[in-house]
Amino acid sequence: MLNNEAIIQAIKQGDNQNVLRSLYSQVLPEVTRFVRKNGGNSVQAEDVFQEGVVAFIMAVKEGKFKEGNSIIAYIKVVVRNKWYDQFKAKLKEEEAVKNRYEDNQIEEKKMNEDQVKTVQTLLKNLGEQCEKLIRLSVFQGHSYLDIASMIGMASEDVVKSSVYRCRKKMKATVQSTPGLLNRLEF
Amino acid sequence: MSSDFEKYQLIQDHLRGLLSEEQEALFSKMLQEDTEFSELFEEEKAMSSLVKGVVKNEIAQEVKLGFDAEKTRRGRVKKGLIIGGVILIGILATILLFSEEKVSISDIKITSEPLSDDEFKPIDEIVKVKESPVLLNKEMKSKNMDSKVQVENHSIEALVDTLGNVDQSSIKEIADLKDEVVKNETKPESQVAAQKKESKTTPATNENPCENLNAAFDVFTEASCLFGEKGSIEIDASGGKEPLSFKLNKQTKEEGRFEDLSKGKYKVEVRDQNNCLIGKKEIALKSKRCQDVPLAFNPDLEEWTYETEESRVTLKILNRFGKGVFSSEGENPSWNGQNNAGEELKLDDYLFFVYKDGQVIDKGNVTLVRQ
Repeated sequence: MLNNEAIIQAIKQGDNQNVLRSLYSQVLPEVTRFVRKNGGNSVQAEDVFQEGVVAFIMAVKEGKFKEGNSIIAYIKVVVRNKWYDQFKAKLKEEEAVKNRYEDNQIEEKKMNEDQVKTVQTLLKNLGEQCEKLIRLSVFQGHSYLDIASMIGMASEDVVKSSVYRCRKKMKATVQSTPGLLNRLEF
Repeated sequence: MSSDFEKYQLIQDHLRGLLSEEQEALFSKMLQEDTEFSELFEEEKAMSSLVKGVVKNEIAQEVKLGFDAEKTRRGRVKKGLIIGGVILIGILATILLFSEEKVSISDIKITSEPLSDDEFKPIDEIVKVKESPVLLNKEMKSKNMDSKVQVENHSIEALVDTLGNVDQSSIKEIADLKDEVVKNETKPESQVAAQKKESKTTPATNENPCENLNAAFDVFTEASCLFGEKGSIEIDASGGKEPLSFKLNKQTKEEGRFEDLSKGKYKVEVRDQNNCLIGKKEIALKSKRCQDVPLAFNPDLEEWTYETEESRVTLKILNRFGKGVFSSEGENPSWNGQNNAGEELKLDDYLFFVYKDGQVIDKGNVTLVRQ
């Protein structure tokens, strides 16, 4: 069982399995109780729980999750919103929560399987180092200093210039591959 | 702001919220004026969005796999526990079975021991009673007599009960019958019963038509709906000289079924053609809720509806202090947990009343709940 700090650290390190195991025992029972109370079954509860966990991991990566806040509370809020969305119930509380956790930052693109595969290949073709750098740098939750220590680079400046180089490379690949832009609906 | 790298870095810093207010102002100015820069910004955003989309997809996949693995692992642990439990129960059962066998063996030992004379005695006596009542010892005789008289007393009471208002002469006859039974106490039971039957069926020398009615009388009720008139009373009676007349309060009929009754107390009386009483009883007709009404509801998710067959009813909601908080009218009036001014009411128990033409046709209570 990990504590809050350890969970956030594990997510930043990319160790999602331990996080999940911990949340499974701590949060799933509460989510199940909530969903059951509101006319759902345990299968639906498992689905929204997974969505809640993904949203939480993304929030940590984006740096939106404030350390010191309760992880259980965050996931429960996400689950509540997702559940009430299904009922199209408009709660004032829901709006408030949304505003609290969602800023005007870049949202991840909703993609189909084909698009995901295309981008995965694209990233792979950039080389291991570049792929890592780009994957890490798009999330505001990872500071350049974090990235430097994770990748084993000497300084922030090295990370900055490396990321720049890699992104340029990626852009070049996208532009030189005809039809890729359309497929991705850029 | 010459090199691409610097432009790119500015965009990154903007996205990370690292720019000061003045820098932000400059940034938006650049976006408006420099089309190349704004294109670069859009491209960077789109690229980040794509990568994030992929990462999210991967995380979702990972979470799902991990979730399934965790579920299976826990399932296995559970299964293991269950199997362990079953084995444990099996072992316990085996132990118990062996100990049980021991008990039963010792039981057999006890029962196989020869019985004492005392234990045989009652059986002996019973045999004696059956074979020759004369041989009864004094103690047994008196016991036997007592129980018989008691039995007769009971049946006479029962008879009087069923006959209801039997006139004095028949009671006297029954009393005579009782005496006779007491006199014949040494006769075998079957003989007594036969005699009893005989005396019952033999027409009395007395010409009173209300004697020997052979009456049977029973009343069945069906509860009425709350505030409704859906109840019924059915009287099952026979004996006397037909046709019988059935009387419910002041209403008299030739058949024993009365319908469309509301709850309350009723007097039932049945007489035969000669106005002899077959049976008489006072009964209370109960009421029940015929309508299914939800006892609680969550106003965030649903409305509370009173469904009725009536065309137009009024629903009134009162709080626990009896103050009206909401009212609605219609075929199936509903309540959304708010008062008439549209304000949310607090979570509590409320009373509901349903009126039709100013008359209460149903009432009850309902609880407001929120998850």
